Amino acid sequence: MTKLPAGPLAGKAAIVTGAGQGAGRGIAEAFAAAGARVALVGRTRAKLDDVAAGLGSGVGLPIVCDIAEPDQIEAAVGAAVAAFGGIQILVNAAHHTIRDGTLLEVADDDLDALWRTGPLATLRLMRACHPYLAGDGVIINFGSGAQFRPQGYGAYAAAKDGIQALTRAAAVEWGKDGIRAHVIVPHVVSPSMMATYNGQYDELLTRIPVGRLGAPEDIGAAAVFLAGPGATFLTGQVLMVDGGMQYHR
Amino acid sequence: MFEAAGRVALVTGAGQNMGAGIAEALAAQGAAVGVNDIVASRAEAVAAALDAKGFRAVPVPFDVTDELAVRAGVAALAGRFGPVDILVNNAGVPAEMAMIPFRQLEPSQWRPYVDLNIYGSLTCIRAVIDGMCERRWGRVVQISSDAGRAGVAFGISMYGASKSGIEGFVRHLSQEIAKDGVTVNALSLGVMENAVQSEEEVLRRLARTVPVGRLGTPADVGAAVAYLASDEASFLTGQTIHLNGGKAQY
Repeated sequence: MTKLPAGPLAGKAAIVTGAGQGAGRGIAEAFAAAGARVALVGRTRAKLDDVAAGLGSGVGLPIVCDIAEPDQIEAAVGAAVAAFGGIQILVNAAHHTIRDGTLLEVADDDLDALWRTGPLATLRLMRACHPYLAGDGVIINFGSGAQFRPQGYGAYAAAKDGIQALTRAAAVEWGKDGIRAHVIVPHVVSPSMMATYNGQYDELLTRIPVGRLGAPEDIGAAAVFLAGPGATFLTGQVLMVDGGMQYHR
Repeated sequence: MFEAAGRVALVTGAGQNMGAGIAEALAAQGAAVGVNDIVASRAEAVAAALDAKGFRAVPVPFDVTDELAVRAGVAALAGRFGPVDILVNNAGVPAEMAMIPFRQLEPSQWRPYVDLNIYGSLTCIRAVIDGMCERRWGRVVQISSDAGRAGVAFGISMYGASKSGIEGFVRHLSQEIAKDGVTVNALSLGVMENAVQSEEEVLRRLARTVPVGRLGTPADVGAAVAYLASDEASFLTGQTIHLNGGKAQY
């Protein structure tokens, strides 16, 4: 065995949705540092350009796309394939941003958007990428701590449970196609959230066993491991990267 | 990424199979590795092979169920490379292991599994955990088995029970020492290449039951341990990761 290369994802091409901020951005940056080229998918051009500018020349490809729209998903995957010649890694990090609300309170529009941008968009992207991922591909989808503490987040948790079920089905159905599939359940506070920090995380902090908030780098490193050459026997996992708050049952 | 340079690792049961793969992966990432095995010649052979590749490794043979021997082994490793930063409890198959239904087991045959997978793991952890917490950096990786979650009818009930027990302990210990910079995780293995000494055709049939289409290897286990033992995995603790090619999902 040789030492893991400095760039364990060298030569790989990835699509990362929600790449303009938070965990998606953390993964895009970690992938680039690990040697991959990354299609940065999101709705806001300026955010994607900002991320791309930090990745180095020719590494990041901004693709404006609203994943709630199936046509735009097809176009985004087509653009990534045209630029990179293929796709070996798909990361579905984007999800509707309004996530809280009790079952009686949550607005019908938000309920709809949580499903369209959650399980529906995730499966559409997985299917659109399947021909390119086949052979040696990895899908990384996102769960949430809300799945384990759903009070006040029931609709969001349900959408995440749906994503988890799709991921596990893909792990089994597509294993023979050379495609592996995982869920990361992150806890992450992005730099933009920290910039407006004024004590709102103090209570949360007391509940995180390792005693610190999660950073995009934590999630990025986990994603590099899952997508890397050492993890080809690993599939169908729900990986909790949350400072020890929960364990997957 | 996932560098282990400057770290000292102790891998139990590293004289063969998965343990040898773990020792090599950690050594390749830069760790100085104590290669433990209950059989001294096996530990010496693996350590010599790593040394020949230019890695830092030393044999530390002892029986993990013998507390005095564990203490002495950890002290010997500390004298050579320094205190243990990374402990991988991999030893888990007692010499007596056989596939026997529970109804045919004598109570005296229950003990080796509990002695090794629970008491042996606890003894090794206890020998290194205070130092890890005091230095505010440590990694404990407990190798487990999907037999700890699944129920199967081929006579490994006590092996499974001992793995379930240590997985439960992993979750508790992870919470107790999370704030000390020490993570504790379990890596649960599925059907691996060494689990069945059998004919090619049987192995091929077995591989077809695994979604990724093959059995697991020492390199698979080594790579996963290298990640869990890294600086970059500091936010991941208390987990059981099922390295099984997708064969079973929990």
